[in-house]
Amino acid sequence: MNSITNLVPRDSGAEQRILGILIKYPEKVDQVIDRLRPEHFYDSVHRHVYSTIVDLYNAGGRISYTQIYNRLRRSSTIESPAQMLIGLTESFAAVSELEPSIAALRNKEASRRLLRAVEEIRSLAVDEGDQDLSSIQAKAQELIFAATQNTLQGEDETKSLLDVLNKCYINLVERRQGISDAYGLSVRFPSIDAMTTGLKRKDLIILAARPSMGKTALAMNMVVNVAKRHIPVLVMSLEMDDEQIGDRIVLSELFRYKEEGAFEITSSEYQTRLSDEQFSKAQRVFNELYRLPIQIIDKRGLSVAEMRAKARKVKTASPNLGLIVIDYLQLIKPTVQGQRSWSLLVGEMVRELRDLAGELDVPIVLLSQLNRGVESRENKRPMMSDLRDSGNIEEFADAVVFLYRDDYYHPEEAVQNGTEGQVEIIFAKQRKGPTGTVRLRFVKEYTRFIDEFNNGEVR
Amino acid sequence: MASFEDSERVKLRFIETCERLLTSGQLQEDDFEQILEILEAIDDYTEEELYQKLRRLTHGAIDRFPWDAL
Repeated sequence: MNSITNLVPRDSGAEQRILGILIKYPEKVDQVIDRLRPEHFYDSVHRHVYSTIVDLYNAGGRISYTQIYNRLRRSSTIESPAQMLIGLTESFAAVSELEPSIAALRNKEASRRLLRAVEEIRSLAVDEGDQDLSSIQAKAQELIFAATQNTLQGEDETKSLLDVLNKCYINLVERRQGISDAYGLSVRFPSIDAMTTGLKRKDLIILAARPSMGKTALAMNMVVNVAKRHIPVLVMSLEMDDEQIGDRIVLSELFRYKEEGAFEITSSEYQTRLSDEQFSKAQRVFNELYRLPIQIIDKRGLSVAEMRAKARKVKTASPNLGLIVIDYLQLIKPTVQGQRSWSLLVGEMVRELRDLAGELDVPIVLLSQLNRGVESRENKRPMMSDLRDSGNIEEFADAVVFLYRDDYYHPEEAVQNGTEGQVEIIFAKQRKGPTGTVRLRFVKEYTRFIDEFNNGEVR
Repeated sequence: MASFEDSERVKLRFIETCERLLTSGQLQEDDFEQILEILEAIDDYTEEELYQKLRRLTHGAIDRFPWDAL
């Protein structure tokens, strides 16, 4: 490892040139301040001088060698500030050298960060080798990602309205030409699409319900609908294993034969033994589904960090990844328990998942349980306060959607009213859309949702 | 712009000398602070203001300086 520590990437000349230029042309600080942090300077004295320049600039004071000298002298961090500053005056440089010097410093700092990550990964592998391998791999990916991700940070983040409108116009034209979905990602349930105008990239959508309401089924129906348009989807299931998910997908597709009498394939038939004709139909469904770009991760006890690492990997392999579904929030393993309350931990996990949606530029549908408070009320329609351990789930989520089946609580009335299987999709929060309720029909035995009502009450 | 660079170098050399005087006890901390203050704002002072600052710093000794001989 000595070979690494002895060859730390640095550019002392560039560091000196930048400091010299900033002192001589203080107005250039504006050009530098959001692109160079003190840690971009390898030399600790240079780093200190740069911090002093930034402090002076922020305080609105003028920047001069005497001012800097005064500050350095008071802080007593440098033995002979005058001598050090005299050395710096040798680096007076032309303004034209500023940009190349900034680029050099940023490159060197990025290389140092990478090296630090390598060192950390090395000690992870050596010192914590007895830990779970996937946990070490996730940490390693985190480190590499952090070491490479910030390289571009600080680049000009200001966008002109012209640039923004250009992008909006291109999207508008693509939607008009049918190249892209109407605004967001259509899940092919017209009632839901009408409410959301499609799931938006970077959004975190919470889909919450009491058990048996059909939230996994609805999410999986959406997954298949999206994937049928050749849009890659990632499913992270912390509850069901891959085969259970696979069977559910097949079963929901077998619904198409429901009306075919003798050839209908029921759930129990699928799970026992099919006739030749039924088998042939099932094969047809399998052949269709084989092609769908759906990736499934079925691992219990995943932490957000591990999910992030896996999602990044999938995104790298499938850059046009269109949707991520996580089933479900309460099964995610908190990274550090410590003294913090469960509610805070859940809030933190939700925030991290929202950040992940932003980072990967993809909508994430996060399934969530609701607390038992629902059961004790007369009106059992979920409310925001029912989000179990809600903390600030509501605050971080871009949309909160509840499922409610009246026939679950009042089966007899539902039969009488003909509302059996009717599911209310309650949009309790939408940052970019209206709130309101739409209805779908849930065919439980096929875990299949049908949009046969399509009469959303949008308010 | 060469004058800026030169004047900054001269100021720093002067400060470095004062630092040495301070370390050897030939210059008081208060006086050193005054010198730094003057150097910092030297370009903003009028000739009269500068003279008054130097007079205070030298406890009037500047009046005995043979300016005419320069």
